[in-house]
Amino acid sequence: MNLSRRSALALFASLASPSFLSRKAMAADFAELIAKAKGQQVYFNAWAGSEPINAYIAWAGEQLKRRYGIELTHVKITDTAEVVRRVRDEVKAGKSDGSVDLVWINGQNFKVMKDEKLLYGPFATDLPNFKLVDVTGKPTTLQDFSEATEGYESPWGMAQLTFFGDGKKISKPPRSMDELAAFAKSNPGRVTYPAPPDFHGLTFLKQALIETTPDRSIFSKPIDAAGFEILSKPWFEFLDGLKPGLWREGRQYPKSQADVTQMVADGELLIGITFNPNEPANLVAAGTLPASTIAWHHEAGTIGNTHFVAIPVNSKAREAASVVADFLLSPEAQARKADLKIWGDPTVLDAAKLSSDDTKLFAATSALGSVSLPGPTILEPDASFVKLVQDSWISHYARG
Amino acid sequence: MKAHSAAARVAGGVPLLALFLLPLVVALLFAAASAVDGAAWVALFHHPQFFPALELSLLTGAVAAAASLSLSLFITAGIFESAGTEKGLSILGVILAVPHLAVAIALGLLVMPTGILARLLAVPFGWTTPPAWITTHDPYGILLIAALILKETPFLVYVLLAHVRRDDVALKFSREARIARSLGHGSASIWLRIFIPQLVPILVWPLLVVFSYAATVVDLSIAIGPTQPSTLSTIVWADLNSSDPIENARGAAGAFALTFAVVIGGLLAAAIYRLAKPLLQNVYTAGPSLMQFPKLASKKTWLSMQSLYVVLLAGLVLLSFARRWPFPLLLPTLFDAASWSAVTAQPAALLTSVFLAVATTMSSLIILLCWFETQKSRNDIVLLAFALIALVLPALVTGLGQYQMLLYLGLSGTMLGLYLVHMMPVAAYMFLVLAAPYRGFDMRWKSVSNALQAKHFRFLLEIKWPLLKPQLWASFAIGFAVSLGQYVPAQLAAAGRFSTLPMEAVALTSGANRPLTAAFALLLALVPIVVFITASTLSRPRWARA
Repeated sequence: MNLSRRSALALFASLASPSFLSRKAMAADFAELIAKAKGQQVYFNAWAGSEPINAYIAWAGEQLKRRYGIELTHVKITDTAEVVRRVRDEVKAGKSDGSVDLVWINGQNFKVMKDEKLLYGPFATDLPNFKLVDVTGKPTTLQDFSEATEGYESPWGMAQLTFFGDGKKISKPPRSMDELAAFAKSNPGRVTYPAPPDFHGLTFLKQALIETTPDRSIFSKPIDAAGFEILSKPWFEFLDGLKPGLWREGRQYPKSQADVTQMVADGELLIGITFNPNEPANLVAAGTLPASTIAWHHEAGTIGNTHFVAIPVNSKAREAASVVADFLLSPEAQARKADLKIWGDPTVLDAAKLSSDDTKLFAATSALGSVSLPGPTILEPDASFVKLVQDSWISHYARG
Repeated sequence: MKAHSAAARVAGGVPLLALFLLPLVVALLFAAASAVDGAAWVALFHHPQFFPALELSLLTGAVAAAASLSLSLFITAGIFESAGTEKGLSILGVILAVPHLAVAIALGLLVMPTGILARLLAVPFGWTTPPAWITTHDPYGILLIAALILKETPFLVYVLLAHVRRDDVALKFSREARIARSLGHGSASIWLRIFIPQLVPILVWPLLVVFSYAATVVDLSIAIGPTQPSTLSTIVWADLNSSDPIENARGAAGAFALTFAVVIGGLLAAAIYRLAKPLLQNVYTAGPSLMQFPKLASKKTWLSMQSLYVVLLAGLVLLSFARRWPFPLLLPTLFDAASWSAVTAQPAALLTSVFLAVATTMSSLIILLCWFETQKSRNDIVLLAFALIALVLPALVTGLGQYQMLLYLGLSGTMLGLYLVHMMPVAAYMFLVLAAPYRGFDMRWKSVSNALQAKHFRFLLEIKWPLLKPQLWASFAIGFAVSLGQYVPAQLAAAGRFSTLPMEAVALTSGANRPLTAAFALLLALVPIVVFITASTLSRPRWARA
């Protein structure tokens, strides 16, 4: 296989290169890194559409300030693409004091930044806490979509496409795209998905594409426009069939997942979408959703991936940014993040690698609104699918 | 001024040149350079949403401008005799001070399916679930247009009132009205046949500014505008912020395409008016008509518009405290001040916005006073031209150019860079507000001062500026509101390092936290209102203060 040979070569090259040696030295002397990081300011560019996430990052900032003297500033962004553009513009203009020190990233944005050498690294695999990551049980911690991370980003949390709604209003949750279409038909105007480029909307569309494609091996390889056109025929048939039963008859789509969630909370919609399996439980705890909320995956599985943090090549605070990435991987920070009452983002760590004290941090608490009907994780299609899915959806359903 | 040497004249113009003209010209060059890319233009025309989105943008701009024009003439005709009152003017000032974005967010929250309007209707109609209304983000941009009309009508009323209340114009109008009445014309006839034709030339530039703004605005369109397709401005904005450099270039081309379309639209409107003029002439010269102007209806329209502002602000107050508010209850079941403690816990955006507004209005005032005191008034035409360019060009174009310029200078993501991008519209608006009263200052005061052998600076400090105090404060209040309303240039220049109130508010509109969104929209409205009220109190002569 062409691909695996390429990654094998890349692995060999990274082992043989002098950077490997310096990385070893760096890992051995993380204390020195901590010393350098003291007093540095880290501008963490992270999507800020959700209060629990913002509050969690604020907590991390307090801890980092107290423990390492690092000043963490949450730059609240709505779309990570903007960060990619900004870093590229700055690097092109020769600005060495970049505006971004750490970015919350995955998928296409990571691939673009890595390909264009806009990222600093490799740094992730040298972080002391990286050894706790469940790289075998959660292979997406090393493979971001179909791009090998190669240490250019550090895993932060796990995600899986999850549906939720009020159990009082939904007697039998639809556990496949076909069942969802039937549900929309019998409950017209009460189901929808966010329009791309919103990534929840894109994931929903990719999920539909996967479920309407018999041979799934095609998704692990890059695809071109001609190949996609053939592949997408049953997908369009499905979407066309779904459309009349959608909210506003599919003439209009919400802009974001947050809009959908708000409409579910308001009772305007019956089914919500999230990429965080624990978000419904978190929202029940926060009082936004009723206690009768249920969450589920499709029976045959839903798309899952890992989200990461990465350091741009022109960051002036690489040392502090590395310390932040390591702190975010610590059992304490990961456990707090996984706590349903805080954020509920699933951990990337391997429970078997944790000390018994650390394991206690993750005391499993089943809460109202947790996923009651789980399904397996399906890997993300190759990054080349994203643009094709988005563009063809826009030209079919959003021309005006 | 004759008394000034050539050196003083140069020195007096330099600050304005450095802080306004030069950055503007350089930014425009940078913007133009980024749009010279043939492939990007081809890609733009192949964008599946280009033509529908362009149509939507132009239609939004045209309808908003035409409706605001008609409404403003209708309102001005009803209130212009009584509008001179202190109270009437302060209400207009308060309304003008509220940024567009705050009005748009408030309007969106009012009419959304779970908004107060739907709750009021739910009782008589017995609704238990929110209606399937297509109100916010409606596909025709009706709500966007409504928000624009709500903001632009008072602006045009202000422009009209400022003109008809000038002593010479007021005298001329009252004379002409007397003659027309003696010829048998009713009040409506007098407005239609005599006043409006004279007011059209005054409105050309303000209307172009309104049309351009309405057709190219980004923040309002993101907050409440249509989504599939959205207006061209939001498509361009997404392209400019995309991770794909090809789309960035397409965005730059799109910004210019939008500008060209606006200019062509403006020229087209002017041509239509010119062609229609001979036809209108027949109407103007047709025999006298006794038609009376519906003054009461006009006053009621104006009053309802003012009341709507009160309702919008009250709705924001209510929503900002609403923790839980199930449909169809008229009042929240749970109140708390969580959103306000979130605002006070992170005051950075508020402080940055206020700091920038104070810094840019103060420095604009200084550079403009330096200019007025040292430059001949005929040089003003240059400044006027650039001020109009700055205001007519879409923020997408000027903002893009400023961003490229700041990148080149290494100033992106710095306070200085943010200050420079806010200076441009602030200085331009303040010049337009100040130029006429400042140049029209009665110079006999100067002769008196000279006779008393006072130094020029003492004359300025003790006579001229105190006498111009109302105008100086008015320009300050307007500059403040303009600075607070900047989104596109601020978002690009800030590079995530700083946040301002409009940036926070726009980001919040895509999230699910309505109380916090309402709190920020309210803050965005209240800060300039407070500044305006303070300014108008301070500008009153000491003896007239309470």
